[in-house]
Amino acid sequence: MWQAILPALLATAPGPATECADDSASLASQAEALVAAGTPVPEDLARARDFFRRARLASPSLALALRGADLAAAAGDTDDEARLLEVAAKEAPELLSPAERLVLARQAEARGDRRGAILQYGHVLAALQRLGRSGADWIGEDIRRLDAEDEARMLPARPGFAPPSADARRAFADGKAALRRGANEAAREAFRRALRLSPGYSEAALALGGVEERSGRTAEAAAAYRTALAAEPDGFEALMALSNLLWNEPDRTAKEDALGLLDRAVALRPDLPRLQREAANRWAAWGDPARALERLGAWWALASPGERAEAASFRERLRARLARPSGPEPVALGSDPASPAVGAFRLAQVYAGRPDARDWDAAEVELAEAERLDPGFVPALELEAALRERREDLAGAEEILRRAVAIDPSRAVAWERLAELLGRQAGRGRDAEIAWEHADQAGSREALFALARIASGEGRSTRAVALYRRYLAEAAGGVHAEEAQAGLEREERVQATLRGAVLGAAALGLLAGGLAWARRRMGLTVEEWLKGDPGATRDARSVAGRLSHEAFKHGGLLLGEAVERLRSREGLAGAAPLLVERLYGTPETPGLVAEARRALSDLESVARRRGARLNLRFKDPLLSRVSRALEILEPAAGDLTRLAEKGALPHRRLEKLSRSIRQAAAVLNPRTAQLLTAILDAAGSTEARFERLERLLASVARENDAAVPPLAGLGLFGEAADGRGVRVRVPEGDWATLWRNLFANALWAPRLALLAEERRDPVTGQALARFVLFDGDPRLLTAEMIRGRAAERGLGIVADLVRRWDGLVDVTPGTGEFTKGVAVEFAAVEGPA
Amino acid sequence: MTPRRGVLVVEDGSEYVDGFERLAAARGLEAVFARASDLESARAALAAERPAAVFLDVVFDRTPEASLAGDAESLVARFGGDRARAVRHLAANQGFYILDALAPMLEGVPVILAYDFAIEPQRLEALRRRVPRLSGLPDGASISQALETMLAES
Repeated sequence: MWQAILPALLATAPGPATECADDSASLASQAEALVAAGTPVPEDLARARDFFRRARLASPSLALALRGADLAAAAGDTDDEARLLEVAAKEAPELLSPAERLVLARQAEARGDRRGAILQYGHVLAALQRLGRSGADWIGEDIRRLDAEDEARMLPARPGFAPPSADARRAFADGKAALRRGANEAAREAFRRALRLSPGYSEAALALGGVEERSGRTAEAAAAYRTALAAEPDGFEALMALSNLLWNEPDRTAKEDALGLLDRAVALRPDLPRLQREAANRWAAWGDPARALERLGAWWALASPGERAEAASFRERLRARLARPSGPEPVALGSDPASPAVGAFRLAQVYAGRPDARDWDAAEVELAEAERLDPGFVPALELEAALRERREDLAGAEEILRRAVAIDPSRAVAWERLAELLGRQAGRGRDAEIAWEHADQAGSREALFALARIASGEGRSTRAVALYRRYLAEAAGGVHAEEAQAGLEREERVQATLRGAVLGAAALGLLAGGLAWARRRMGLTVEEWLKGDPGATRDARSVAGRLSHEAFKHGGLLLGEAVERLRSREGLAGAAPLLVERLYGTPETPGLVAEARRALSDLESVARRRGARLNLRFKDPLLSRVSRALEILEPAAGDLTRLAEKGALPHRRLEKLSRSIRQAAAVLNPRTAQLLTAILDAAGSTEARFERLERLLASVARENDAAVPPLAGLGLFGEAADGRGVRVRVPEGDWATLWRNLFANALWAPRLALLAEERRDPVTGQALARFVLFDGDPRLLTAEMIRGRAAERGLGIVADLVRRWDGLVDVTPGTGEFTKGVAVEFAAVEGPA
Repeated sequence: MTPRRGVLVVEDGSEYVDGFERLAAARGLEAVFARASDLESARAALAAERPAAVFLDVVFDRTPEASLAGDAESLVARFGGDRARAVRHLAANQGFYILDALAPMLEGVPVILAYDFAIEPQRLEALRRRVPRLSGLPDGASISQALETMLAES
């Protein structure tokens, strides 16, 4: 397409100039002279290309880029041709046809430039949509695949770190205590000490990053967050913190990293619509409407009708930008990397990072220069405010931060700093709260915790509960998670007390009865929840495992021993110190009661994230007894501690304590763990039978308008096994999805065979079930292709499901007409002997 | 005087050995407890002295990766290159791996594994083919019952 207009374009290029051999026009002229006479010899062609290259360097132009591409094509240098066409496409996108863009996309993909490929595919898709042509779904699939590959490329390998030592944990606790009293420098030192003692202590690194960031030490903060991520690559809080920090940096590479980190955070927490929306906003600001639209689409599904209405115009703008055949749009942000202030700001950052006050003076000079060059460059204002704070000029810092948030109200970090600054000043509490509210609106999770504490301190219990819950939902692994959990429990107790007082005053037995009835019926039991959402079993199992290990197994051993002592009249006194230490914890460890409480709360959070509200305290027949046992143990701490210290208790108090221990031991024991496991097993396992899978195959064939290939059963599914089934630890829905995808890939085979066999892990003895679907499909398929998420064949879903349920997937050679078999293996529920 | 019976406790923390020692002292039991934190130290302890019984914990999530027993590389291959998953698997099932590695040294020695086989009796049977005197920790057992079972078996 562009070749047709090339002569006209070249005619508009600057004419030859004889005086200066190095000017663009004369270089182009010499090049043309070399290739003017028909097909040039390779040496002349190479020299002509070199002249054009130099001409472009001297004075870039569309005509020269196109002519360079033309000569590169003539020389068979497809890479250079593609690169030059991309240059031309940015300037005059209308010159490239969809077919040429497709070539560019393929070439970008071949050289590993996934983002470039996505951009070109996006143009092709938009062009086809404009022409009203369908049947290009594969382009969308390709974009998604490239996106996933790009994301996967950025995933770091997970190194192994030993758990933090007791000394490191103590240092971390010191740091948190310092933070609570606002002693940032002491907190910083304590967190650094914790990290020196245990270099992989992700919580300490995360907390240190927060302190550094709020002190304006961006580079140190980024290093600390990266340490946290190295220790825990899936650490949601660290991903978010580093993403936000880098996004605020005036640096394209940093912003690009920030986008990748945010996408990883979104993948970890798809239940948080705010994140999806944030990702859409950032990709849009970055100039990638295709990715922005994809994130917005994910958010759309979770948004309320009102939110969708508000976002409709944003979506339309993105669609229009995608349809417009142009290259990426420039970033328009308060931390624009193209700002003339960047150089001075970078220098100021270096000076500000030094301990000497004279360097801070130099930093301020550079910042003044940055502000002169670009008064709207917010990072410079933030750094300037941090320097003022260091010099105790709080009024000056406040004034600068207010200017920063006025320029860019979406910068959470500036609002956070302002709020902290105001919070440290007597009588400015209300101003601080307003600033925190703005920070919350800008997406700060720190703000949720700060606002919760303010609300709690002022007796606004309902608001405090709501904010603590939001913090725990959005920052479950955050620095304040433990405090937030404790705060939430405290506020819930306050609310319960208040409710009790109100009810008592009302003295309406009927009403009280009604409420009691309601609280026992509202919400779901674990069994009800998992029955409706068996896919949640995996997450629930992990929390239940913790509960079983801590409360039922260790707690059961301890309490069982205590009851035996009571029974044998040995008395509790001898066991009391151990009971106190293990049940209620030490300064280093939280203790079984707190661990069990936390596990119950985590279970409720898991359900809440999946849209279900559990009622463990009153309705769940098993875990309400566990809650009650913990409620019995909590007030016994005082008497048990006294018994441990003094060796004796007054008779009535000892009797009461003994009663409490017996009641708790009756519930907190391995039997309860077994019952909980049985509930999870029932929800999370499926009876695999040949007839069912045969029916599923027929249904998949119908959906695909294909004939049903004959399916033979082998092994446990063979005739000799008399239709025996095997129970696998995969929920029904996921089991069916997995086979739907495997069958859909095998429909065109002339016949199929399905082998089922049971085996045992040779080391652990665990029962396993293995299934192999043999087919004669000649298309290449390897285990790596399945695990590499070959999305176009639906096998990515198979790989995901296998990973989710701790199974294995492999491709095994077949025999005769069966060229290969896809094998999957899962844990099995033990059948009768 | 009855000779003191030696019990080897293999665990990554010290919860079990502390509990056993307190109980044994309180009851005047003739038992001494040695603790091993991983396969190598357990192997060395067994080579130095044959114990009257062995108690094995299952989950070793506080043990550094390098000290975990089991062929990590073959597990990584089995899990499609997912090293993190392979290490998690090893830590969560470490008691079984240590048991497997020590099996030749445990002939005739009663072994208690801190795992409840109540709903998996065939699994226990399968493991007993290598370690005939293996028991699980029975449902609802207190630490003193665990101790008594172990000493009674020895």
